Amino acid sequence: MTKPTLAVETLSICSGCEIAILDLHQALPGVLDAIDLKYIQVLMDFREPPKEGVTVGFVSGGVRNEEQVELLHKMRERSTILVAFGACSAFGGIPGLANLHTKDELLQEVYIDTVSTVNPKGVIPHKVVPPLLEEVHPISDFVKVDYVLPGCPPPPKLIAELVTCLLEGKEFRLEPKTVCDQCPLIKDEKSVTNFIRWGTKKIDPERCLLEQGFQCLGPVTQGGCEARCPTALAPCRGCFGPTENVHDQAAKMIGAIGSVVVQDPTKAPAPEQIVKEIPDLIGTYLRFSLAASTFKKALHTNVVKTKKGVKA
Amino acid sequence: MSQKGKTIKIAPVSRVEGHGAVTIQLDQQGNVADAHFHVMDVRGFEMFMQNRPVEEAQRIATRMCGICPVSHHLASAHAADALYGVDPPRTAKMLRELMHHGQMIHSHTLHFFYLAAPDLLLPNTGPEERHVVTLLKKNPDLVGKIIRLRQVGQNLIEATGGRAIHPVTAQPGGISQPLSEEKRDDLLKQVNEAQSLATELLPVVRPLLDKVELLDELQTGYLGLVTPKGELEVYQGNLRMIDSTGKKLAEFPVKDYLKYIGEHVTDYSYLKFPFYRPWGWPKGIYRVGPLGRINVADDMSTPLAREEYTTIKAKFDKPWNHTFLYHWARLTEILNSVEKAHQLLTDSHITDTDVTREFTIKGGQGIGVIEAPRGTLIHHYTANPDGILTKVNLIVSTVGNNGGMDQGVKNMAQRHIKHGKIPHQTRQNRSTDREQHRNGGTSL
Repeated sequence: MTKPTLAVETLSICSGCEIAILDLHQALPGVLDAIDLKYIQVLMDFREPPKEGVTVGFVSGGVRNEEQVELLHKMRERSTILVAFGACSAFGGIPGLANLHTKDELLQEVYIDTVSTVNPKGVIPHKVVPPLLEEVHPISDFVKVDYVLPGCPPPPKLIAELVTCLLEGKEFRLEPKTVCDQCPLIKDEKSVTNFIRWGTKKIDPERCLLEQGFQCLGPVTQGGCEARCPTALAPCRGCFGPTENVHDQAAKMIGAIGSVVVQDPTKAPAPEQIVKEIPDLIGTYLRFSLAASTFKKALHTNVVKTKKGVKA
Repeated sequence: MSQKGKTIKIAPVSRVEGHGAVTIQLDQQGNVADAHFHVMDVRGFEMFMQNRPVEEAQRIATRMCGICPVSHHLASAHAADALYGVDPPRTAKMLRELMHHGQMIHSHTLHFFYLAAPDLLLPNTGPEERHVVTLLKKNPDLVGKIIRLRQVGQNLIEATGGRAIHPVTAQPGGISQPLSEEKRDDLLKQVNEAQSLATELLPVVRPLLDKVELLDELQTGYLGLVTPKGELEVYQGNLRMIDSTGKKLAEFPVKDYLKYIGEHVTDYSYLKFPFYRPWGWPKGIYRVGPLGRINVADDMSTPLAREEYTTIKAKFDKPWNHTFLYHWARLTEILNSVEKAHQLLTDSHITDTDVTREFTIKGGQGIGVIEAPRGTLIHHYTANPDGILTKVNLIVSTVGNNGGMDQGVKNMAQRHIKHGKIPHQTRQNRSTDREQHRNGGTSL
């Protein structure tokens, strides 16, 4: 019997997703025994996925340029099961924050306006290199996706579970839990009177970070990571994306904020005060999912892109 | 100049991080007229990190590189400390440094043993089989050791950084969590094991490491951090720039980097090309990473690494312009980081619980530096009075080698392609094209 095959296509990446596969460590040889790894540019010298068909295709990275659109379609055509592997592929990821700027602004900043750049002729790279798209896309903007494995990067344990499920012909599904559901920190009472910037106050190592007034996206983020960031006393920034049935982490988070504020109206902060205390709402609440959020549509209608960012 | 002939394009370049391509322009006689290394992707961190709070930058910058996220996390923390004017407690600095040595162990093991070693250890294998999975089938014991060595590196990062990939704990003024004594004891055992593994693995590959003729020499400057005594340093210190003869050109704190470093832009690569500013482009091309660091340093600071360094020095006069010696320098640095991690873990202050300093949000400038596995990494932030980034400049380790990679690709193409004949892929040219550009990868 021929073994099922695995191919990994990498679009606009940092390589963290591929390292996550290697971080199976001692379990890696077993996985490679069960599934034939046929294509992964970071590790092997094949220049494209096998033509004769791929059982499981992982795609990591968002779609940033024209060449990546072609690579993505090729991978879809050749794969029986296509997995959006990691936050960038699934929701655009952190590089999706570039959608707050136009493509031309981005090129101008990187190649002309940065302080150490010496570019008197204003050269912008354009030969051989693929042209950028106007914005960053999750892969689902272009192709049908069979499974999503979120995370930045996906934890190795979930990678092994996914591969096992697919090999056994089972459906893979993350449990309908939030990061909060898996977090060991103690949730106590609705007592926040003001929100504070990360690091500006000592952390209580026992208590819920959000209830201490720090921004933490645990309540609105899909679980499965075993709450690895809050466990290390660093707030969740939402890399698993929204929970099922929630389309937009930002909209949901605004609700979650209301639920931790002290309920006594004489002590409760005014809404305008709260807004002031969260200086970068988009970059905090949509850090990984801007490119897939409803806000993205607003970017094109109600929100004006300005020279240096976005004005609501 | 002769008329143009055929163009050869190799894309994608594999077994490197990110997306690269090589183009070789032949003249009408079929000889190499020009050749370039192209980085094919740009994400624009210098743009979209703007408008983010300074204290969030540590957790955004990591995504520039999934192999060296610790370097970005910590260079960003260094810049944020400077900007907010907050000096982390001693233990916080020690834990950050421990995290960084974990990354050196992981990344260097990956780079040499997973990516480069198949070329050296499987010389007669075809390209479709020349990778770590084949090595695993042929020599599971060896690969088992390699896997474990890299795992110890990742475990050090996870214990201090919360996660092995894209760590989260460094913040302006410190680190979010202390290290428990229980975890310390476990890590110390692992580091001892890593030292044994590294000293077992080195003799396996050492006979291959002096084959410097496999790659051309390249006359460039070098840049890297040094300790106050001039020893190799990867975490903090002054930057030292030397020329290709070993003459010291400058030694400076990173806050003065704009006097010494500029970045050139070409129309054929998304990756910029840094240069020694007083010499201009292209005369001021320099290289970074293990070879750069070991070239600028006068010595190593730990016993095993010093022994290895002395062995190399007995064979080759410094500075080492041989690109192939990147490998040996990299393996020497694995020893250095294992020994440094051991020193940190046996210091009683490592488990102190005072690991943060509170700070007040303000505006200003902050510049941070660290030696990422592939070279000097600089983060330069400007913020408004609300602590929101208004300008971000990043000189990543990848760019530090861009000039060298571009030139190296051309040299190798000229050496191997004559009258339109492209040699069959031999061990020689394979290992060559890899190492030339593996020292780079993704753009910003």
